[in-house]
Formats: sequence, structure tokens, C-alpha cells
Amino acid sequence: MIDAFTHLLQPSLLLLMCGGVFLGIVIGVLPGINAGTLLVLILPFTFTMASIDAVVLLIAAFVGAVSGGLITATLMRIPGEPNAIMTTMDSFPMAKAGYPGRALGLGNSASIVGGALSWVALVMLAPPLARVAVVFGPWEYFAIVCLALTLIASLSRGSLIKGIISALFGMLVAMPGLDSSSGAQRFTFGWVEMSSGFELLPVILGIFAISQLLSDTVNIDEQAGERVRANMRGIVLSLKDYVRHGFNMVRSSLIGIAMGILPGVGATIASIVAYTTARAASKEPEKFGKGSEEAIVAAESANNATTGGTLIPLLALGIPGGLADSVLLGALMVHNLAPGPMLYTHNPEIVNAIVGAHLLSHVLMFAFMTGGVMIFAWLMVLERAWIFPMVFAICVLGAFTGGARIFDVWVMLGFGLVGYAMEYARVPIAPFVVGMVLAPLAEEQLRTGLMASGGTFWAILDRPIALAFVAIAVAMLLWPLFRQRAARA
Amino acid sequence: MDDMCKARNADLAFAILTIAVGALFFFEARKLPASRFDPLGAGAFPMAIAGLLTMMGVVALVMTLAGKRIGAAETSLIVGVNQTDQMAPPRPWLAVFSFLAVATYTAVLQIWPGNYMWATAALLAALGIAMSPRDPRSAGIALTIAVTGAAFLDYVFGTLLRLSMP
Repeated sequence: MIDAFTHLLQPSLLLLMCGGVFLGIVIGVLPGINAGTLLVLILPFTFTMASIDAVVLLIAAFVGAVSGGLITATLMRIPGEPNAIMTTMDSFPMAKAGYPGRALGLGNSASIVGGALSWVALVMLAPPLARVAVVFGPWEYFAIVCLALTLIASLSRGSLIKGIISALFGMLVAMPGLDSSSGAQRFTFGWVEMSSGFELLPVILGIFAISQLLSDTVNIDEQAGERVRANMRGIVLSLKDYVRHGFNMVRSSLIGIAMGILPGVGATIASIVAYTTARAASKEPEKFGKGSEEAIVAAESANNATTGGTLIPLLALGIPGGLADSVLLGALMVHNLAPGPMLYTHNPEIVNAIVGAHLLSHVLMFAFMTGGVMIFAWLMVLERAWIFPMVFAICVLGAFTGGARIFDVWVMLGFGLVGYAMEYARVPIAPFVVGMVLAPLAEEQLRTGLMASGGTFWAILDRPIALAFVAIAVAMLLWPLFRQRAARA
Repeated sequence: MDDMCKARNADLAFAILTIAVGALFFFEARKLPASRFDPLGAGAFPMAIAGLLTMMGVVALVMTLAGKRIGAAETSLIVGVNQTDQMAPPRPWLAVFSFLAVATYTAVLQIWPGNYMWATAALLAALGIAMSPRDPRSAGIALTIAVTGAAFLDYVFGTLLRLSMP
């Protein structure tokens, strides 16, 4: 690990990390583009980079984007990132009361504590999990993919049915192309271009970035009503402040780490749970929503803590927990790296780079957000009309450069419409993306398992771990029905 | 049309589309040949997924027709926009125009490859002007961004990163 940090402190990598964190914060400040979109947009820039450089840049941007939402939340009452929604409820009132520096300082300090604790969890939990996962056979992998998809579908806020349909639809999109096992062409519908199937990047760009751009374009004229002028007073917390909020920071960070590990939960729910827990435990719950320090600390610790939590299943098992992780997984695949337990064996330098970059990016984020808040606050004046056209152009270029095919740009535009329709019908997009990423793995493992067992599904009964995963998946699916019935009774 | 009615129609359309896509893939998957060595073959897994999709679509359709809501996920991609104080009238035609402009740009790049920079400058100018307020200053800014942005992308991707350009 020390070697990894020494390596990351090379000027070129340090510069890359600074650039990634800065870009992430800028994107976090700009309403309308979030962490997942940023990662998708950065991906084409990494095609010619060495794998380590690419992952370092992506992790840095991820950390920056998760943190940057704090600034607009505090100064404009607009959460630049969805996970800053709970922060907004208290940081803006505090800023409006004349303490913007204090609100930003509390959020920023909570963010680095959350990030650092989640790094500790990443270092402590991912390697043993990967060691356990090395002995997993095809049935265990198939079962864990089923569990991940079930979790992400059932935890999608609002609708279980729509979450499941979204995941299944994503899995189907991964099916066209050459079947690697039998050599058969599947679902090409006579199109030569379809023989290699849908590439991941154009589909994600379409379903996520283009649909978001279209949605934002419809509401392009909306503006924030109030703005608070930023100032630096109180932005650096005293040791006494850290001691006073220490327990809250640790508790909220642990919530964030746990929520990050679970597929489909993510930073937004983590911040909501941490906020609610902090209010329940607070001696001054009446202050929540009116500029409570405890509330800001809880929400920001939790959302940054998910960054490490979410990397644990991604690195150890190759299972992404949400949109941003799916893009990270896609990025690793673009660079011919297979996340999962074997990454620890075959490419330990990549694992070390990811883990090291996670912590260093938080340190850089803290420094940038503390020292550069006036610059980032100034960026809030940028009009969306100046940014969106460039983002459209980068999307086109990103879709094209992966395979040098215009066909992929059309695929991106097509899935842009699909994503917009899903948004309109209030269908969650995260299960779709995770389904698409995990479907080939699920199919491959199932087929390998069946070949080994002579074609019988009952072989899963001899695999207790796989059986446990399936049982949890079934329980997750049935739980909402039981809850509904209990509520009626 | 009130919001409830709109949501119900969207759910109906979603359910029907789900059934249609599921059925299409199911029947296409049935045509795939079986394998002698692989018990599942190329078609069984997609058939299972498509079958499940169709089934879920039927459940969604029945629930919607029975007057039950199938739920609405909190998908809002428009981060922060809904929290603004000054609500401006939505501009759906601007989104349609933007989409068509990008589609036209893609067609131009396909038909006349090698004109990346100028085609991109034209796209950025068209989108920038359409999205900005109608005044000379905003148009000037949009044009400046269009030219510098196109040159920037061409230089970074084509020259610096040496990626193949459309």
C-alpha cells in the first residue's frame, strides 16, 4: 500500500488526480450533470491512457463529483448532486442566516471524515471478501448476480415492478451479438453491425447522458431564486468542532459505508438514513431543516462514505452497486481488466491505485473545497446554454471513438430516447445499466455451472453459499408483498 | 389531462411496450439452435429473460387496468431543477430541436466524413443560439463557444489523444 501511495505521488498521476477532483467538483457545482454522467463523459478521454492513469482519473472525478454538490446546496438551495438533497435542507438556511462559510466548512469536514472512514472499510473489507470470492464457483457467481439484480431492482425507490422490468430490459440489451459459447448470432435482425452486439459505452451514454440532457433542456430556463454570497469565514473547523460532531460523523459514515456496499442503495438514500438517524438521536431535533449543524454533518459524512463502500463489492466481486459503479466497471473492462477477486491476484497494482486514489482524492477534494470555494462559487453563474451543446458534442464523440463506428452514435441516440421515455414513465435507470453489465456474467456462469452439473439445476442445492444468496434474493422480492399485506391488516 | 390520468397512460404504454419487447425477443430466441455440448444453448437464457419480462409486463398491464398504480420511481435526472423557486415554462420543442440537430449532425458525419470540426462548430452554434436568450450578446457568446469548443474537441481527441475522428 505504501508503494501504491509513493507511485500515486508521481507528478503526472498527482496532476491527473487534481484534474479529476477539480473537474468532479465543477460538475458537482453545475446542476444538471451528475457523477455518473461525468464518468461516462470522461471515459473516452481515457482510451489512450494507461490503465492506472485511467482508473486514477475516474476515481478522482467520482470523489470530486460526489462532494461538489455541497456548494450549490449551500449557496443556491440546489443540490448539484442528488445526494446533496438532505444537505440542502440545512446548509442553505445556515448560509442564509449569515454563515455560508461555516455551512461549507461543516459539510466539507464531514465529507473528508466520511471518505477517510470508508477508505478504511475498503482496505479492511475488500481483500478478505476477495479471498472468499476466489473459491466461488459458477453457481455462487450466478446466485450473487441474481442477488445484486434483485437488490437493485427492489431497492429502487418507488416501484418494484418497474425496477425488475428495467433490470430485465437491461439484461436483454446485452444479449444481441455473437454467442461466445456456441458461435451463434443472436438478435442481429439482419444487421451486420449488430454482430458484435451493443457496446456498453454508447448505450450508457444514451440512456443516461442524452436522456438527462433532453430532460434538462426542456427546463433550461428555470433558475434559482435566491443566492447567498460565499465567504470563507468559519470554513476551517476547530478541533473542538471535530470532537463535538465526532460521534455523529462516525455513525453517519458507518451508515454510508453499509449503504454503499448494498447494490442499488447509493449515496442519496444513505444521506437520508443518516439524516433521519441524526434527527432521532439529536437533543435538538427541532433545529433540523432550519440550519442544524448535526444535519449537515450527518448528510455529508454519509454520502461521501458511500464512495468507499460501493467500491468494496465492485473490487472484490466485480458487482457494481449503481450507475457510477457500473461506469467504473465498464471503464475497467474497456481497459481489459476484469474486476472481481482475480483482479487482486492478476493486477494488484490496479487495486492499489484505486484504493490509494480513493483516499488521496478525498484529501485533494478537502483542500480544493476549502481553499477554492470562491472559485467554485463563481462557476455557478455559468449558463446551461453554454455547457449543454458541448456535452452533446462530447457524447457523440464518446460513442464514436470506442469502436470508430457511426452506428454506435445512432445506438446512443436511440437509447437516449429510450432513457427519456423511461424517465417519463418513471422507470428507474440504474437497474437497467446494472442488468446490462451483469447479464453476460450471469449467463456465462449459469452455462458453466450447468455444463459441470450435467444440465441439472438441482446442483445449486449442493452449494450452500449459492443457495443462501438465492434465498436472500427471493426474500428481497417477497418482502414488499409481506409489508403491503401487513400494512393492510 | 390531469397528472393521474397522464401517469396511468404512461404506465399502460410502458406495460404494453414491455410485453411487445419481451414477446419479440422470446420468439426470436426460440429460433436459436440448441447445442450438443451446452445444456442451455444460445437461446435458453435470453428466452428466460424475455419470458420473465413478458410476464412482468402482463402483471403491470393487469394492475394498471384494474386501477392500481404500479408505482413511480424517483428517477428525476434533472438534479436540482425541481427545487428551483422561479418556475419557467418548459420548452419541449427545444429538446426536440436539440435531438434532431444531433441526429442531423450524426448523419452529416456519416455521409461526409472528415468534416468533424466544421460540422461540430455548426452543431454547437445551432444548439447554443437555440438555448440562449434572444439577444446579440448571448448569440455572440454561443458562436464563440461553438468555434473554440469545436477546435478544442478536434485538437484534444484528434491530435492530442490520436483517436479516430468521425
